[in-house]
Amino acid sequence: MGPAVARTDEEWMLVLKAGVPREREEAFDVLVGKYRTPVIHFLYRLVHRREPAEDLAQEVFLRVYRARKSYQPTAKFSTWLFRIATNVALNALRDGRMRHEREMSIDADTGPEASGLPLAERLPDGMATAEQALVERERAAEIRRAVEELPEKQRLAVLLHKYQEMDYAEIAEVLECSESALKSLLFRAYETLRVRLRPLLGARA
Amino acid sequence: MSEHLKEENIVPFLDGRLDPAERGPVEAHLAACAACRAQVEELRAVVGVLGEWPGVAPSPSFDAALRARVAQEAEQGSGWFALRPAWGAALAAGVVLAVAVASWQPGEVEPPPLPEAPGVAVAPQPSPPAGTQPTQPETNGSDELAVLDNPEVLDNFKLLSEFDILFEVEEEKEEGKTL
Repeated sequence: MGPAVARTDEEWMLVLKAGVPREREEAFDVLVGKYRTPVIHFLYRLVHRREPAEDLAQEVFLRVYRARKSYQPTAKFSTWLFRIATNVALNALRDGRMRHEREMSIDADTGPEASGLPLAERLPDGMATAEQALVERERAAEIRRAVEELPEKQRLAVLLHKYQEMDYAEIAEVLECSESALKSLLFRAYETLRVRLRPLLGARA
Repeated sequence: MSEHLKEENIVPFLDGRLDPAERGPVEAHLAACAACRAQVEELRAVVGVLGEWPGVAPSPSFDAALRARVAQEAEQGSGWFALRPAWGAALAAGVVLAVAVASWQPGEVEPPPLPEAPGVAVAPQPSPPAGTQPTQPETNGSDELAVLDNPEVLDNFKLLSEFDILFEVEEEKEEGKTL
């Protein structure tokens, strides 16, 4: 059953901050329900495997819960959330917690099945062949490697711009840079990817 | 290309979010410069290709696992204090203060004001001279609470989160419920 009251994310966060337990529970459920998939996608594209991405996503939402009383609606909730997600992911990557996971990653989660849907449901009729799946998986792996090779800030900018479709002001706030610097950062990232992924441009999967 | 077009204009142009005043000159340049035109089209294509990297659907158990972690954290209040003896001592001091206030005999001196947040570990205070009652919870006698007066500490997200947990644990105890 959906929420009885239409509220902005920031209003839900204020309910989580100051509501009675039943209201807080509802607010937390609403926010998790809305952002669980985007946050998991973001973290998955940083750590490359589902399980550690979900572990980190839980840590992100746990931090939201813990920090609710100090929350001030001075920024968009999504900006604040992805700033937390970025910090959680970078801390995990830097302290080595994810090293083993990344070394173990052999693109097991980077195939069509990673979307959670059976291959046959994702591909047009007649294309659900093993060969097609292999090509698609190889292309996804190539894209993953190219993005992974970007400098950290460029990588984060691409993930937030291309995959989270956040606006420039939000991304700039998450990455703590100016909008102008962000636009240049994105250009340099896409320019690197343009050269790196040129072989994929001529032949779409 | 950056010699021909401003770097910071190219991605907004591809997104269709370039300011109209900037868009005209970019379009004019692309009409006249085949190299830039080809490069912009390749950039547009590569941004499209990036969409072939799929995300992952959350596990069906994600929400249940998260709720369990939140509930566990709330329920671990006593364990959390046990790990931080200084905080436990501060809480004990707060209990002593609460008992002292509860047993205060009216008709004498006005009792000190209670902190607004129930359960905030307030250290016992010596009776201050008349007219010097603080309006905020006093911090002397507890290093942990004294840090609340430090603006640098107030910017420390991790520490503040721990304060939040302290408040929450007491709040949950009073309400007899957990999220």
